[in-house]
Amino acid sequence: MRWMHIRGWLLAVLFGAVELGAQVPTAVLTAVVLPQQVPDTLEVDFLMRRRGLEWEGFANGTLCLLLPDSLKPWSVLQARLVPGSSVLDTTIYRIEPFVLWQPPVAGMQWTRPRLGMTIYGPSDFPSSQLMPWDTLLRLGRLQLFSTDGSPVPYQLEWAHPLEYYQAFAVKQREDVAPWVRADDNVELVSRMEYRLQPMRVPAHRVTDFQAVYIGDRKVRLSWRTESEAFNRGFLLVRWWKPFNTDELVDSVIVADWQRAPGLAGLGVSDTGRSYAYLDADGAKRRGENYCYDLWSVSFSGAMRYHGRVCVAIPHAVISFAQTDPNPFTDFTVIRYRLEDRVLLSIKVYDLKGKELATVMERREMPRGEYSLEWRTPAYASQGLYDIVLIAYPVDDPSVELSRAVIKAQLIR
Amino acid sequence: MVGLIRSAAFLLLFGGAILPVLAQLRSEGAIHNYGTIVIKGNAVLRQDTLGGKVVYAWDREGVNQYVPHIVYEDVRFTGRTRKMLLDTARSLVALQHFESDSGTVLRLARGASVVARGEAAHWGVINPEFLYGRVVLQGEREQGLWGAGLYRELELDNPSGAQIRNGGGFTVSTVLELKRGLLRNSPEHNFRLGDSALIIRTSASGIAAAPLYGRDLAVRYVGQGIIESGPELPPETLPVRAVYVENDSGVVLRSSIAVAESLVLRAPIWTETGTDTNGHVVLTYLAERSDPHFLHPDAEIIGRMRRTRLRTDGQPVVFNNPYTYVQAAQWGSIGQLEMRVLPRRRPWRPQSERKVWRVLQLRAWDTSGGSLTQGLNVRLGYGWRHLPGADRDETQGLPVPALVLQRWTADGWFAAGRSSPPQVDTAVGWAYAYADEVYGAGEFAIGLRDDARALQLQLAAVLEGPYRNGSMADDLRQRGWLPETPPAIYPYTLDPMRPYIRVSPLPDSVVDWVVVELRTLLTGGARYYRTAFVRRDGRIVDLDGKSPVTLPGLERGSYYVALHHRNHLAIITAEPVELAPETQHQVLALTQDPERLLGGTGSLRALRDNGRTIWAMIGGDVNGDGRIDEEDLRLLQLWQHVEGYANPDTDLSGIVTTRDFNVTWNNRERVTVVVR
Repeated sequence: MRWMHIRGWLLAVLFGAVELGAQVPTAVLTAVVLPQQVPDTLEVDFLMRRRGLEWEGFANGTLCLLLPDSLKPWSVLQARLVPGSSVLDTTIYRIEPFVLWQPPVAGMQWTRPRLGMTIYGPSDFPSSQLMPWDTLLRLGRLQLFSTDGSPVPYQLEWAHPLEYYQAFAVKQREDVAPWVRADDNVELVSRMEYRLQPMRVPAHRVTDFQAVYIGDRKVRLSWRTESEAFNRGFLLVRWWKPFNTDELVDSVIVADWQRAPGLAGLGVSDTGRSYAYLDADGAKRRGENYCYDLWSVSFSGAMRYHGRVCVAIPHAVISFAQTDPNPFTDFTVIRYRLEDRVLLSIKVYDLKGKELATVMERREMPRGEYSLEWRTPAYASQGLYDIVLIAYPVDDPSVELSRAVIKAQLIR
Repeated sequence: MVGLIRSAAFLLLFGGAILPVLAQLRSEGAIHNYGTIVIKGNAVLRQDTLGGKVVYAWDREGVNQYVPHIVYEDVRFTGRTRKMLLDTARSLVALQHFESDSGTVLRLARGASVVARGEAAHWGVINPEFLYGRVVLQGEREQGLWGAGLYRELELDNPSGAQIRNGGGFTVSTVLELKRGLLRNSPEHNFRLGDSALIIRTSASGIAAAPLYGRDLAVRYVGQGIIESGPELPPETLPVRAVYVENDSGVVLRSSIAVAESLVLRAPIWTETGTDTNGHVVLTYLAERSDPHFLHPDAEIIGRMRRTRLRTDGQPVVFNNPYTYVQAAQWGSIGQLEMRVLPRRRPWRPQSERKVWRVLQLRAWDTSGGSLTQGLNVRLGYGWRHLPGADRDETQGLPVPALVLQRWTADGWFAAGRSSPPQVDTAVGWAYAYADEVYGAGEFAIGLRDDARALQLQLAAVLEGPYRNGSMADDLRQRGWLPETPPAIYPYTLDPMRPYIRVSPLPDSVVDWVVVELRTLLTGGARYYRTAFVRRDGRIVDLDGKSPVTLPGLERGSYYVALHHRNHLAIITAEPVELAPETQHQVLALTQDPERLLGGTGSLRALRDNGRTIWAMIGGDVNGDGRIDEEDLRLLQLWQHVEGYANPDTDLSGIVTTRDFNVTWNNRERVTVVVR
C-alpha cells in the first residue's frame, strides 16, 4: 500500500512535469501510407511508440486523417480494418474504421471529409493493452477502398487541429486523488506527437524492352521496371512494317494488363520487376517485319510510352549449316540453324551419290541452332562426303523445302 | 245559520255583530258589509270591493274554496279547505288586514298575487307544491307583518316600509323582492329565508337586520343608483350562492361576503371606497371552475377579491375584472390568492409619478394559511382603463407599449416578471397585458419599462468539459455553432421565456447557454429560472454577454442558487443565498468552494491546472437526466464523429470523439444532488 501511495504521487509528479514541460511527447503516433498497389485501394498503418514512462495501458482513441478535397464522389469510399493487423486484442478493443464525407447525423454541422479509426477499449486497467516502452506497435492497418473501382486518394494528412479531431487516452492504473481515479481514461493528445509517413512515389522507370522471335510465328517480348509509380499495368501495340519502308501500319493492341494478368503493374513500387509477354498471334506473316510499342497506364488513366522494338518473322528454312572439324576422322559435329519449325532430314552421301548414312529422318525440329555429333561408320573409307540437310516447313506454305549441303573430308 | 245567499238585483247589508256563515256566496249585485262574513263554500262576487271582514273558513279537506280577487277591507283565511286564488287578471287586495290561519293553504295561480296594503298576518302556507305565489306589501304607511306562515314570493313596495311584529317567524322561500321601503326586522322580530331563495333589491329598499338565512341564497341588485349592501347579504361565513349586480351604478359592499357559485356584474362592486388604503371588506369567490361574468366595461370589483379554490386546469383565475387574473400550470404551495384593485388611484409608494393610475395588490397564502410573499411563479394578468381624454382614463398619457408590470420592493419599483406587450381594446376602453414569472406578492404598479429595476446576480462557475489550460474554450461560438436561441432541450426548457430569447450576434467569449435557477426550498417551493451565458472566464452573464444576470420580477430574499447545463450535472448551493440590492455586487463563485454546494466535493470534478486544483461542474451527462450512466456512454458511441451543437459533445469542442466519451466515462456513476 505504501508503494502504491508513493507511486500515485510519482504519477502525479510525472503528470505535472509533463504539464509544465509539455514538450516531450509521451507517445508518437505515426500514420504510414503504404505504397498503393491498385488504384481503388489504399492502406494506412497506424503505428504507435510509447515514449513516456507515466503510462502503460492504452485506453482508447480517435485517429483521424483528412481526405483531400479533390476526390469525388465520396460515397464510393469505404474503410475496413485489415484482419489481424492490430496489436490490440480485438476481443477487448473494438476498432471501428470510418470514412466520413457528410455529417453522420443529418442536419448537424460539417467540416472536412476524413477517415480513420475509433478505438474503444476496456473499462478497467488490468484488461488494457500494456504498451512496451519505445517499441513500434501497429494499432491497426486501415484499408480504404472504393466500391466502384475509382481511384482512392493517397495524399492524406492528420486532421488538424489535433485537439479537435484527435483523441488518445491511456488507462489510469490507480487513484490520484482528487483528479483521477483508477480505470479513468486520461487524454494525452496535447502531449502526443503525430507523424505522417506519406507514400513515397518513385520515378516510373522501364528498361530492357526486347522482342525475340521464338518460332512458330511467336514473338517473346520482355522488359523490366526499376521502379513504378501508380502503374496500373502495361499495354503492347504491334505494328506491321512493310518491306523496304519505314512506315508502320496496321497497329493492333496485342495485349494489356486487363486481359493479360502478367502485364498488371505493381502500382507504386521501389523495386520493380521483370515482365514478359508472348505474342502468339498467328496473324503475323512470314517474311515480314513487325514492331512493338510498350505503354504503361497510370492509376489516373494516363498513358506513358516506353519504347519500340521490331522483329522479323522468318520463313521456315535452314539458314546455316557446317561441320566441325572438317576434315574429320572419327566424328564431326554438324551445326545448323533452323529459322522455324521443320521436319528435318540429314543424310550423308559419298561423291558417287551413294547414301552412306541417315543421321536424321524427317524429325520435327523447332526453331533454333543445333549441333549434332555424327560418328563416322567403320566401313566408311577416306574421302569427300556430302552431308545434306533437307527441311520441310511445318507451317510455312510459302516454302516447299530448304536444303543445305556440307562438303566434309574424311581422313583415315 | 244561513246555508246560501244568492244576491241578484237586491242589496244585502251586513253590520254590527252579525256573523252570517255562508255555505256559498254568489252575488250579482252589491254587498255592503260592516260586520263579518264567514264563507264556508265558494264565493262569486261581481263587485270590486267588499267592506267589513270576510273570512274564508271552509274547513274540509279534499275540496277547494274559490276566492274572488277583489278589494277587501279585511280578508282572512282559515280552515283546511284549500283556498283557490286563481285570477291572474287582478290581484286580491286587502286594504286593512290580510290574514291566514295556521294550517290553511292558499293556492295562487302563476301570475296571481295578493296585495296587502295594511297589516299582514300570515300563518298559513302559500302554494306548498310550487315555488311561486306572490304577496305584495304595497301600503302607503308602514305595514305590520307577522305570522309564522310560508311566503313563496314576498314583495315590499312600500316607501314607508314594513315592520315585523309579534316575533315575526314567517318564511320567504323563493323570492324576497325589495322594491321600495325598508323591511324592518330585528333579532326579536325576524323572518326566515328559505334555501336557494333570491333577494332582489333596489337602492330604495333594504332589510334592517340580518334575517335567518337559508342555504344557497342569491341576491340580485336592480334599478338605478348605487346600492349599499345590507343584511340581504349574509356574512362571509355563510356563502351566498350568487350575486347579480344588475343595477346601473353598482353595489358598495359594507361587509365581507363569500360567493359560492356565480358572480355577475353589469356594474362595479366596491369593497372599499374613498381614500381608504387599508380596506378590510373582501369579496371571496369560492367557485373553482367558473369565473365572474363581467357584462359591461365598467363592471369590475373595486377593492379586494379573494379566491380560495384555484382551478387546476391551467386556465386563468379571474379576479376583479376580465383582465386581472392569475394563472399557473402548477400552484405549488399556493392555496389562496387575493387581488386588491383600486382604479383611478395613483400608487401611493414613492417614485410613482409615472405610473398608471391603478393600484394592484396581490396577496397569497399557502395551503395551510401561511402568508406567501415570494416564490409564486405565476402569470399575472392586469388591465387598466385606457380612455384617453376621459376622466376615468388611467393611462395618464404614458406610452402604452412601454408599460410593464412592476412590483414594489424595499426601496423601489422592480420589474415584475416578464411583461407582454400591452394590448388596447378601444371598444371597451381597456388596456391589458400579462407578466410571466411573477414570483412575489405585494404591491404592483404599471409603469414605464425603463423605470423598473431588477435584482442582479453575479455568478461564476467552471464547466469541466470545455476547461482547458486555465480557461474554458468557446469553440462552439468560434465555429458559429452556438445557437442564438437556446434549443428546446433540458435545461433550457425550464425557462418559460426560452422561445423568446434570441441573441444575435452572440457576444464574444461565451462558451454556452446555462440556466440559473433560484429556489425558495431545496425541494419543492417556488422556482425561478433565467437563461444566461457562461463565459470563458467562468462568469455567468446576462444575454448581453457582460452584465450580471438580471432577475426581473424576483424579490429580494434568500434563495438556493442552482446552475444547470445541458450535459453537466447541475449544482446548487447548500444554503440559501441572500439576494438584495445591497448584496448583489458580491460574486457567487459556485465552483470555487465546494463546501458551499450541496454535496460538497462530490458535486464537482477536480481538475489539475498548473499544479493547482480547479473545481468544475461534472461533465458527461449526455441525456441530461441528472445521472451519468451506460445510457450516456451508448449515446456517445452512437454520435461519434458528429459535429455541431450536440449534447454528446461533452467537452464542447464541437465534435464528438472518444475524448467526449472519456469525460463521461471518468464521471461514471456520478449523480446530481439537485432535485428537479
